Amino acid sequence: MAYFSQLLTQKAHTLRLPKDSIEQIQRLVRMHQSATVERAPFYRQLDFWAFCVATALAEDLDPREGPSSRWGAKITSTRDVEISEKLGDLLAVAAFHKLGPDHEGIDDPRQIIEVGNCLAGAGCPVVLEHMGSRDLRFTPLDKALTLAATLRTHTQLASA
Amino acid sequence: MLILQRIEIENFVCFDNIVVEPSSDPERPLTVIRAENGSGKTTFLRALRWGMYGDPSLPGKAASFPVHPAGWRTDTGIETGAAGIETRVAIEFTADGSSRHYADSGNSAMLYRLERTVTTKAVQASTEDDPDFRRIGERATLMFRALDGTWSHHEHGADAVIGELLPWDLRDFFVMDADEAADFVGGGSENKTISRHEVQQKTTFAISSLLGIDVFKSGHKRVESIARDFSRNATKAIGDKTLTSLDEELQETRTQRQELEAKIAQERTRQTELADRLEEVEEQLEASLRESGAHDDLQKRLSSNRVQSEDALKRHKDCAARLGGALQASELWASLAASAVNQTYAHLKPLYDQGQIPASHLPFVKGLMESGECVCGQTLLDDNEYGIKVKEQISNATDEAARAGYLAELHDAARSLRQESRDSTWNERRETDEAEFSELELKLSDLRTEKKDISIKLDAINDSNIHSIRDEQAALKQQYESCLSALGRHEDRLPDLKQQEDSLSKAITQRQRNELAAADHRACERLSRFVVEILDRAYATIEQQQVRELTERMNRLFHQMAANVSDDDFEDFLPNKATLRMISQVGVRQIEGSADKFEIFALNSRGRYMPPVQINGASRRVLALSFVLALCIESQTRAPLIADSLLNFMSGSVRRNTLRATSEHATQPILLLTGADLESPTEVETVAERAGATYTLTGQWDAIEAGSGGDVVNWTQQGQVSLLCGCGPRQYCRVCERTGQADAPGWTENPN
Repeated sequence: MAYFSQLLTQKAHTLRLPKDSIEQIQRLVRMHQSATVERAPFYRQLDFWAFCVATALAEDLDPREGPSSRWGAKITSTRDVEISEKLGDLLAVAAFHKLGPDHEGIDDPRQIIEVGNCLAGAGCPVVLEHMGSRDLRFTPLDKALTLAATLRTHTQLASA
Repeated sequence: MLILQRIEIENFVCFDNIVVEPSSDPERPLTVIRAENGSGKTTFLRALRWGMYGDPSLPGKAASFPVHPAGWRTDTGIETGAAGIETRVAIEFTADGSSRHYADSGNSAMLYRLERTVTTKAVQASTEDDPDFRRIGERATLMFRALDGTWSHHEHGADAVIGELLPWDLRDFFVMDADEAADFVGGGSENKTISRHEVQQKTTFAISSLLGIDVFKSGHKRVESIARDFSRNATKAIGDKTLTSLDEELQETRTQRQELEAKIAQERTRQTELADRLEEVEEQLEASLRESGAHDDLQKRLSSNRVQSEDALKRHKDCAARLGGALQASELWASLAASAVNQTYAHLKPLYDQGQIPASHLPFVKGLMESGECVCGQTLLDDNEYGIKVKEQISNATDEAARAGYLAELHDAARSLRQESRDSTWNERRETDEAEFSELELKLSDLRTEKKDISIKLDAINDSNIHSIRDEQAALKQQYESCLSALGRHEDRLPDLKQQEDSLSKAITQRQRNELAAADHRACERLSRFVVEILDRAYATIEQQQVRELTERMNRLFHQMAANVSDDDFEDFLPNKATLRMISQVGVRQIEGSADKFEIFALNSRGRYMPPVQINGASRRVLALSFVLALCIESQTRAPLIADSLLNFMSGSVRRNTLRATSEHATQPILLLTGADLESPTEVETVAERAGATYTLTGQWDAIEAGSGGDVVNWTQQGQVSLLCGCGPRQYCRVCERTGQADAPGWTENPN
């Protein structure tokens, strides 16, 4: 099942997140600073990017209008980062879902990544908004987990 | 006092077995033993001397002098058995303990018996000059008879007692060969020369011993020796260290001891102070620890808190990591993308179920092509119609197949995500982790609070205070130990100092005693020397007086014996020799240049000293006898005077006077005289008047029958034996009769 992760990492495809949110995003990512999990719950920017993608899917958001290069800052490249099997599966499914079965780009890694970028671009504000809550009782980890739990509940309810 | 009671002679030269009991009657003290020349007079004298003194008293080489009977020699036929012949001389005498040293013992007379024996055995003579005998087992015993009549051995032995009573050096004085007695005068004889020194020595010894002058001399020597001893002791008592240096040493030691005692007291006080202070500090420490809630406990709690905190932190971190990881969990993505996943799956599943994805016919067709035969049986070749069609289908289907394959993959991915979404326990895990996380947050908070609390308490304990108290405690302990150590050292040293002080005190006391003793010794030394001076002066005085008295006595006796003397009275009258008549004064005088030496002198009518060599034999005999008698009288010496041939060379009045004087003045005169000595009636009368015992010795070798030209009538016992009988001067018996005596006027036969 590593088909899609291998497909996506055969060539370097840029992953992007909204450039106007990069600073905020980086505060939530441990790789760029010495912070605790509670303060920076995401280990890599990729992890945040994936969470934003998942959030967008959960909220059934339309991908942000592309090209992502217009509004997004490169966070990494598919050749520079390890995309897990499940993530690869998710991106492929997300691209199929958003592009449709007949779109000829559904098996195009570039298209898949672009869909991912656009979904991340759509989900990022949601995440950041939630993470930006000023409730000091909760750490960024708490907020992230709460958001994740909430979204999950909604999707489960929706599925049911 | 010594009086002979009995003389037994057995097997001595010519005496077989004779017994003489000298007179002990003070009224008739004279004992006369008459014996012609060669009858054994001298032998009798020698027997007596040997009995008293042993071999040294014998003439010549004593070892060569045979004391055994003449019959010992083989030519006489006397038994020479293997046991030998025992010679015995026994002398019984009475003595009262007085001597030249002890004039009056105060004791009553006791009977003694001196017996000397020796055995003579034959030996093979090595040379002609060597004797053919040897004497063995000479023994002298002295017994005394106790009041109960039993005999006991004298504790001091024979030689010691005889030496005291009749000293060896005075043997000539008491047991006198008249020729030798003249040695007191000097001049010697034809057969013997004697030096003046020897004469002086004999005379001096006789005077010193009998007058007791030698007591003074020995006393002088003794006291002088004592004085020297006192002097030595005085010097030794002083020692080598002076009293001052000892005292200084004592003071120094005492000071050291006092200083040490002060130090000990000081250290003890310090020890007490330190102990008290240590106790205080320890109480303070204890109080501090108690007040602060036990610092060590808090430290332990803090330590435990740290461990727990580390553990909680780790778990918290792990939990946070898990929670953080939950955001990256594929389940979460699958859950969040459930709608998209489900829709994708819904779209693709029918295709999959229908087999449209993946395109599975293509491999079949490819397989047909490869096999070259269709399922309908048609041959499939690259260039035939069916083959070409199949190839077109294959080519057309490949693209579709790729897409179908992709969709199949997508289907699988959607299915997997969907399954994961459904099976997800993400929420449960998250909740569990979040609960744990919260718990750990709380715990960490509690631990932090606890730590803070402990720290506050620890701070409140005032660590530095406890440390400083502990530091003080440690310092005090060290000082205490140091104090104990110093105290120990001082206390160890103290007994030595005390002992040293005691020793010095004792030494000083001893020194003081020694000095007193030395002073005493010096005083004794001075006293001793004073006594020596007194002795010397007394000695000089007494000596002079006694010598003067001796001289006077001697002079009187001499003139008594020399009274009515004429030249005819001397048988050996020689013109160039002084006679009794020529001698006007005799006496004893100190030798010039030697205060304690004496000699007998004779002065002529002109008062000139007459040298002994110029005095004839008879005069020298009378002179010597007057000396002996005078000395005995002056010294109150009561002892026998045994004289052999005393009246030789005398005749007439001199003989008579001499005999009378001797019998009057000697305590126990025992005279061995010849018949010629007793020729005159006066002599016979003197003997009859003064003699308590008379004997006659008759040598059997003079028996007519013996054929040696003798005149003894009876040969009573054959052999070279001298027999003893109790005949007096004018008596004869069957033992002693000589020819003519029976018919001579005045001679009587003795029937006993």
